[in-house]
Amino acid sequence: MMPLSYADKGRPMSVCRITGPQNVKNHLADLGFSPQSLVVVKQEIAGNLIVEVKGCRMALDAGMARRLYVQEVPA
Amino acid sequence: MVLNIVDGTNIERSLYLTTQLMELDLPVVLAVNMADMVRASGNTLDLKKLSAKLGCPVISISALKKEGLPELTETLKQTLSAPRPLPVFTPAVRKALEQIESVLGDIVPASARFWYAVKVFEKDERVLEELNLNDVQKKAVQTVTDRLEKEMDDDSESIITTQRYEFIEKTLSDCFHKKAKASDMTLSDKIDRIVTNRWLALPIFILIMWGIYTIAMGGTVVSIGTMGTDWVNDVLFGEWIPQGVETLLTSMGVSDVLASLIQDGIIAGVGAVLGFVPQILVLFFLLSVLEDCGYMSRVAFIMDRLFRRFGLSGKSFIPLLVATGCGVPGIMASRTIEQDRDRKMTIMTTGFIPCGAKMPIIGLFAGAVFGQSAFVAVSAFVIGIAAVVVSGIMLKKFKAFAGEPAPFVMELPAYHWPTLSNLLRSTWERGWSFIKRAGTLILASSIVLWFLQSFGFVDGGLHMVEDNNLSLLAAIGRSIAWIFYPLGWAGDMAWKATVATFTGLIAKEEVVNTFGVLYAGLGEVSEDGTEIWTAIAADFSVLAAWSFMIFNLLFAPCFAAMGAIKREMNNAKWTLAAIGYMCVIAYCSAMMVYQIGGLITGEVPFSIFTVIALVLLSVLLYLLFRRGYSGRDEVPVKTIALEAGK
Repeated sequence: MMPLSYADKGRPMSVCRITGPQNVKNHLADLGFSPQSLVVVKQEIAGNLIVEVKGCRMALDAGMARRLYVQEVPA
Repeated sequence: MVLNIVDGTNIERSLYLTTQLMELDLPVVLAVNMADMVRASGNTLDLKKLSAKLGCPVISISALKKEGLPELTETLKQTLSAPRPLPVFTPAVRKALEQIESVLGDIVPASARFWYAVKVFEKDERVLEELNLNDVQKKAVQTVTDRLEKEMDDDSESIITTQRYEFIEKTLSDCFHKKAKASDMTLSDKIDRIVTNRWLALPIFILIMWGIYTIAMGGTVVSIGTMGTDWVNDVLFGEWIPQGVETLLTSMGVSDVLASLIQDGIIAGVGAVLGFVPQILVLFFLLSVLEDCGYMSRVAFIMDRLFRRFGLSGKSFIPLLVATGCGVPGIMASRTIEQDRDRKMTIMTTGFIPCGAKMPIIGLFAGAVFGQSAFVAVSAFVIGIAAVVVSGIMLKKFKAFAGEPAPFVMELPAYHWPTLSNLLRSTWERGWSFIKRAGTLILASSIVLWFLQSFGFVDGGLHMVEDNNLSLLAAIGRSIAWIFYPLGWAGDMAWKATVATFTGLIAKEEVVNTFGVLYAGLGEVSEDGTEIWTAIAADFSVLAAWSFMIFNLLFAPCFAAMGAIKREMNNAKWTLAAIGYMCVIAYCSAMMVYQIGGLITGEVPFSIFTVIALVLLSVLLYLLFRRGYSGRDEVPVKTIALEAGK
C-alpha cells in the first residue's frame, strides 16, 4: 500500500484508504475515489496529478495525492 | 418534482447524486445528457432497463444538439409519484437506518425520515446541528452507528458511499455497455500528454496567451481587436458621430452650452470607453474558446503548484487572466472558487492586474516621460503581478485568511470543439458588463465632469470658463492635492494628477482623457495622448511619473469593478476592506517608490516622508516574513482505514 503520489503512470491501482479531515474524505469519495475503485495516473507535474477514476479525468494536487492510499491490482 | 440531469459520458459517477435524490420522497425524472457524446464514444445505455431498475422515467437528451427535449418536457408535464425506495443498502445497514428512523420519530416529517436517518448515520454536521438531538437520542444513534462501524470495520460515511457506488455498479452492469476499457488512450489523453507535460505545459501556455493577445490587442496584421478599436476611435467616434451630431446640432440651432455638453462631455466620454469594446470582445471570445474546449481547466491545474506558493490555488488564475481584459468579468469569474477565503483573496487581488483600460495610462507615460520604452508596459504587469503575490503572502498570515488553500480537485472535461452559440453567449455576457458602463456610469459622470471643468466662479458668479485653471474641477483638485504631496505630486501638476486619479474612478480610460482636457483643452485626445506628451514631460519628473503610474495601477478600481466586488463579496464590510486595502497598498507603494527611489537618485531630499516611507517598507517586510497565524483553523487530522476487499 502506498500514496497515489508514488504510483507508476498508466498502471491501474485500487484505492484502499483515504486519510485526512472528514470533509476532504467526503469530497474525494463523492468525486468517485471510493474504496476499491480503480485509479490510473495519467500525468504528473511537480507532484500534482491527472488521474482517471470511474471513466473521468480528475486533476488532484500533490496534497490530495498523498492522502489517497492505493495498492496494485493483482493481475 | 426533481429533474436530475446527469452526464451521460460519466454516468457511473453522476448516478451517485441520483441515489441520494431518490431518498427524498419526491418524484424524480432522470435526464441523461450528452447523448451525442455517448453515441460517439460507442458506449450504449439501455434506457428502458435503467428506468425499470430505478423506478423513474429516464430520458436521453443532448442539451447541446437540442435532442430529446420535447420528450423531456412531455414527461415533466405528467403527474408522477415518488419512486419506491431503492435497494441501495445491504440488510445490515438498512436495519441500522431503520433503528435510527425510529429514534428520530416525529422530530422530522415522515416523508424525509429516511433521508435524515442516512444523514444522521453519516454524522453529517449540518443535519446534526439542525436536529439538535437530546442526549438520550444521541446515545441511541451512537450505539447503532458504533456497532455497525465495528461490524464492518469502516466509518459510517464510507459505508454509505461504498454501498451507493456498489449499487450503481450493480444497476449499470447489464444496461450500460462500455466500448473502450478505462485505461485506453483516448484523444483527450493524447492531447493532455502534450499540453500538461511537465516541461512543455508552461511554454505551450505562454505561446497560446501570446497568440491571443496579439490577435486581440497587438499591432500586427492579424490583430483584429486593435483594428476594430482603431476604427471605432478614429472613424466612428473620430468622424462620423461628432460630425453628424454637429450638423444636427447646428441645424437645430442648439445653444453653445448644450452643444459643448453633448460633444465634449457625452460623446467624448462615452466614446473613449466604447473604443475598447472591439479589443475586449475579441479577447473574451478567444478566452471563451479556451474555456469551452476544456483547456482552461488544464491551465488551472498547471498553475496550481505555482499559485500555492503564495496562498492562492490554481483556480484563482482564470479570474486574473480575464482581468487583463476587464476587471469586472475577472472579479465575476472568481465565483467558481468554492472556498470562501480563497475567493475573497482572489477578489481583493484581481484589481491589481492592469486591465485594458489602464493600458492608455501606461502608454501616455511611456511615451511622454520614458521615451516610449516597452519596458514600462512590462513593468506595469510586473507591478500588478508582484502586488498579487505580495498580497497573497501577506494576507495569508492574517487570521481571516489563514490555512491552506482549498485542496485542488477538479474534473477535467474531455476536449471538445466549442459551439459558436456558447462562445458568443459567454463573450457577450462578459463584454456586456464592460459596455454597460458606457451607457450608465460613464454617461452620468461625463456630464458631471464636463460641468465641473467648463464652469468656474469668476467675477463673483458661476460662469462658463475658457481657462481650465479657473474651473470648479481645478478648485476641487487644488483643495485635496496635498494628500498626494508625499507621493511627489507637487507644483502645478499636483491638482491635475489628483483630478485625473479621481476621474479614473469612473473608468480608468478617463485618466488620459482628463489629462488631455487639462493640458490641452482638447475634447478628446488619441488613445495614448500623443498631443500632450511634451506638456506632460515638462510637468512630471521620471519619479513622479512612476509614482503616479503605480498609484493609478493599484488604486481602487473603477466604479463598475467596485460594484462587481460588492456583488461578489455580498457583504459591506468585506467590500470596504477590499477597496480600502487597494487604496492603502497603492498609496504606500507609490510613496515608497518616490521617497526611497528619490533618496537613492538624489532627486528627493531627505525629509520626514523619507522616514515614513522607510517605516512603511519595514512594516511591509515584517508582514511578509513574520510567522503567520496558525491556530483554531487547523482541522484535526484523523485517519480512518477503509480496508478494501476482504
